[in-house]
Amino acid sequence: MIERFKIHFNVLMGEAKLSYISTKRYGVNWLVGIINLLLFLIFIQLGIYSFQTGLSQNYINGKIETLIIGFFAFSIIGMAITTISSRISEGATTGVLEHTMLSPIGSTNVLLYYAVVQFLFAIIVYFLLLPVSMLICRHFFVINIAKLIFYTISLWIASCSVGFVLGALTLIYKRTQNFINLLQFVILTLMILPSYPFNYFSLIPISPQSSALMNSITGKNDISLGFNLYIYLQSIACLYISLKIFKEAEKYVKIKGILGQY
Amino acid sequence: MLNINNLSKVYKLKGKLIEAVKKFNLDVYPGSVYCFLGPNGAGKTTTIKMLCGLVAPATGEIVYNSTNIVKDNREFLTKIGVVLEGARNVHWRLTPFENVEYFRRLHGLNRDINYISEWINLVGLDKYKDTQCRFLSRGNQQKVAIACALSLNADVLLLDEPTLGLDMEISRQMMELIIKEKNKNKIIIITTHDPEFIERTADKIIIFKKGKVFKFDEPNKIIEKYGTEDKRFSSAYINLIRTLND
Repeated sequence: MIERFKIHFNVLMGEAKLSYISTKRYGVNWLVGIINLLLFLIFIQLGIYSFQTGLSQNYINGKIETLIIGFFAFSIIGMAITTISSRISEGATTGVLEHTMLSPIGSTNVLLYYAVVQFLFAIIVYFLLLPVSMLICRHFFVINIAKLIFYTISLWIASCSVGFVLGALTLIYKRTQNFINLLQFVILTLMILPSYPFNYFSLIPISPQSSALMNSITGKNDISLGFNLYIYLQSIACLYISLKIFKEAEKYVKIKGILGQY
Repeated sequence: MLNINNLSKVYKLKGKLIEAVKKFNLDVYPGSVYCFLGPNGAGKTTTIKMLCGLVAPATGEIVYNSTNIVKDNREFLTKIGVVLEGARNVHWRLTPFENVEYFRRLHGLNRDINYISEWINLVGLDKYKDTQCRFLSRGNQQKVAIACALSLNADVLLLDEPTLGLDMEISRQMMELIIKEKNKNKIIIITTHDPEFIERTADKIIIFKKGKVFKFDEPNKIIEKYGTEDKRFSSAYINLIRTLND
C-alpha cells in the first residue's frame, strides 16, 4: 500500500516538475498570459464603472462580481477541457506520449495528475491576481473562498471528463486539437443554461456545476444539499465514464498500431 | 523468464491485410542479450512494441514470470526499460538530467540526484546536462534515451536500435553498458543493424524476414554458416542479408 502510494506520489511530483520547468523555461509566454489575465480583470472592473451613471453602487458591484466569477469559471472549464488533449498532442510532438502509456500507474492516472497540477497552478494564479486587480481598481468585494473552491472543484471534475473524451479523440484523430478552440462557444452555452434548480439541463455535464457556482457566489443563494450532492456525483460519474472511454481509445490505437504516429 | 508464444500482428492498410509478425515463438532467459535482425519492415519494431504493450497482438501470449502480460501488464511495466525507435524517447524541452528525472518519476521512482548524475556521466553527457534536448545532436539525444531507460534499473530492457546515430566510440561505450546490464542477470532484447554491436553483445540472434523468423541462432554459428575467411559477423551479416533478399 505504502509502495503504491510512493509510486503515485512520484508520478505526481514528476508532472508538477514538468509543469514548473515548462513555465520557467517559457517565462515570457507565461508572463504575457498573466499580464493578459490581469488586464482583463482590471478592464472588466473599469468597464463596468464607466457605465455607473444613474446606477446604484450595489448594482455595479453585483455586475463586476458576476463578470469576474463568470470569467474565472470560463477559464477553469476551458483549461480543464483542453489540458488532456494538449498534453497528448504535446507528448506526441515532444516524444513522450508512448512513455506516458508505459507508466506502471496507467496513462489515465498520469494525465489526471497533470490536469491536477495545471488546475492548482491556475487557482494560485487567480487567487494572486484577483486581489492585485482589486487594489489597482480600488474596488473591493468579498468572495466566500471556501464556497468558491467547493464549486470550482466540482466544475473542474466535470470539465475534466469532457477533456478526457476529447483526449481520447485526439489519440485516434490527430487533428482534433485544431478544432478545440471552437469549444469556447460550447462552453459559453453550457454556462448560460439555467440548470439550477434541477431541470433537464442539469443532466448535461458542466452546466449544473457552473450554475451552482454562479448562483452561490454571485447570486448569494444557498444551494440545497441535494443539489450540491448531485453536482459532485454527476461530475464524478462523468469523469469515471470519460476515463473508461479514454482507456477504450487507448486499446483501439494499440490494436490499430497508430499510437503516437504523428 | 519471458516466453513468447504464437505472437502475431495483422495490420489493415488501405483495405489490405498485412501480417507484420507471423506466429513468433521465443523463450528469453535472464542474463542474455537477444538481437532482432532483419531488413526494414520485417517485424522487429512491431515485436518490440508488442512486448512493451504499445501494440496489441492479434494472437498469442507473452508470459513473464507466469503472468500473461498481453492481458495484464501493470506489474510488467514496473520491470521494463524501453528505448523506442527514432526520436520518441526524450522530452525535447527538458535537459538530459531533467529527462532522466522525469522518466524515473513517470515510472514511480524517486529523484535521487547522485544516481541520475552517475547515469548522465556514464553516457558521456555531463557537458550537456543543462542543455535542452532539442539543441542536442541526434546521437546525444539517443544517449539521453539510453540513460533514461537504463536508469530505471529494470529487469527487462527492450531497446529498438539503441545505437542509431551514435559515433563508433560512444557505440562501443553503449556496448559495454549493455554487457554490464546483462551481467546483472537482466533480459535484454535489442533490434539493431550494427554488426559490431551484435558481434560484441548478442548471445542469440533472431533474424526476421517478412514477419517470420528466418533464423534463430548464436552469432558464431551464423558466422560459421554465412561468414567469410575473416570470421567477422559483419561479413556473415552481408551474406545473410543477400540470402534474405533472394
